[in-house]
Amino acid sequence: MSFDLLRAAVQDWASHGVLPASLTYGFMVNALLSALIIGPVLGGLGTLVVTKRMAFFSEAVGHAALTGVAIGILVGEPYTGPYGSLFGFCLLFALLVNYLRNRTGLASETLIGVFLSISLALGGSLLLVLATRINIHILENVLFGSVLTVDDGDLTVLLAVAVPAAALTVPLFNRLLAASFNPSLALVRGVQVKALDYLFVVVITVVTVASVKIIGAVLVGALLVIPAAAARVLARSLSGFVALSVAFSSLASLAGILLPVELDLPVPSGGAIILIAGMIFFAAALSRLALGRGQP
Amino acid sequence: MFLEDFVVRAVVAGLGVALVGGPLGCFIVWRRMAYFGDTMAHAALLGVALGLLLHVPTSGAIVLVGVALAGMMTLLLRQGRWGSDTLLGIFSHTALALGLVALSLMETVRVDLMGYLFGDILAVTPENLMWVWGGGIIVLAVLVVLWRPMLSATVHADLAAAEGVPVQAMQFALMLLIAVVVAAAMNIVGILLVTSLLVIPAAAARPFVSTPGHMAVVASGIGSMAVVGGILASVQWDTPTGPSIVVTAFSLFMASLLIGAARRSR
Repeated sequence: MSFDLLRAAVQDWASHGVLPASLTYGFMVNALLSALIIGPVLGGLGTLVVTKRMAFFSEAVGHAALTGVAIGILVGEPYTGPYGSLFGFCLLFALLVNYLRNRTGLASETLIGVFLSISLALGGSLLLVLATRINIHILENVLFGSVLTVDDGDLTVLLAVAVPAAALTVPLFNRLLAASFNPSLALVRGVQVKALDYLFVVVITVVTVASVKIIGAVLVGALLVIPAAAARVLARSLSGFVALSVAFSSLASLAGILLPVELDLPVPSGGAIILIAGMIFFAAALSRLALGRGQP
Repeated sequence: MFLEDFVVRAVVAGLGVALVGGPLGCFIVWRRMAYFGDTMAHAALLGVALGLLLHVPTSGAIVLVGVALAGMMTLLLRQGRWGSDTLLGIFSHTALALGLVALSLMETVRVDLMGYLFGDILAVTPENLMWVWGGGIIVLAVLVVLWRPMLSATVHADLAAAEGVPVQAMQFALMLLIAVVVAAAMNIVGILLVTSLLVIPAAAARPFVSTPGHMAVVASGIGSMAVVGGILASVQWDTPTGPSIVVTAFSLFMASLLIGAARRSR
């Protein structure tokens, strides 16, 4: 695979002291590469998630991954990467919730809450039962992420998802934004609001699912929200908003993966990434509060 | 086998949670606070970590974290800069990550993380029972006393404010009540699932009721059915307790959804 060349180059720099010494390990390079893919993509999409107020939805999709993994292991997919059932179940889940949103007479918040609970409950209990048979750490890895097992296959899946997601979202960005600010106006202007809505749901679902291995099912929704929220505090323009969000999200993923290894702390990668993202948000919010209440 | 001590304890504790969860869950559904409940539950892991670090009872630490969370939400929402769902997304994940990192750094204590996350029927001690019923009675009493003003603040905030109801204070009180119930119920259903005992029964009760008070009672009933059914199923088939309760509640919800749809089409 072409990853070998890249990996060899990074390991070479690391052994010459240009990069941190932990990068002499192949699995650390893999983790680093995955952070470089996840960070920008989740950060960029996050600006739309925050604007469209879909934070709870994206969290629910992340949680659904738990059931996706459990079903995958049940039907005999490899438990390090049950991508077939993972993508299948999560897409089904996301489309179903999006379809039911305005059709049951329940507030969409309540509906999402109900479906989020059931996917956690089903996935959790299946995995709790399965984990005693295979490997007790599976559940913890699925919930909170693990960088140590990222292999070439995972990187390929990440790239295969991230590149089309970015290629679809970037040219449609303005239209997606317009559809969320004022749906009826966008509709009048000829924007296919409904189709865009479903497209966006599919994009955030596949990106979220591909990142589950690194960040974990419970925390993966956070990178779609926290960096964008922090960027919104500081940015003065739309492009600044997107750029800052991408930067924050990449910084959090890189630091969250490298720091625990560098400092030799037994912390799950997802926990570290989200904690750093959270610290960035609070630093941004505090600096804004301290600098006065000027218009953003 | 269904009459083992620990099963009876779990059922009694679960019923306590279900009874309070009915009316409280109705407010959560009416006020669209499902995500807030979820956040409060996630933050409970931070409470667990704090409790272990400072050697104070976990339930107390969770309520404290809940108070801090409610305060910060109120403060930051007033800024008007972020949507409430964005703020909740930040708080719920950051608190969970903080709790997780703190727990994994505590080398001296081996905690049963999965027990906290998904509940542990064996962990229901007589002391837990005291917390659940003590906390439950307090929450119920507060709800009964504040029922009218809370309801009017929910139905029409502006009108309620004009009539002299402290709308903000009602919202804050509701947040605190949720924190207390999360702290009490955490051991039975687990942190990740505790809000389902609040949200699902209330959502399932909707098609069958005509008044708010009626909905609260029906929700309590559905919650109790889910608790008893779930615990018995978990003992029978050796499945994890918390998830079994939630799966039972969800099947009741689906049944209610279908009945509601059938009625509307008639």
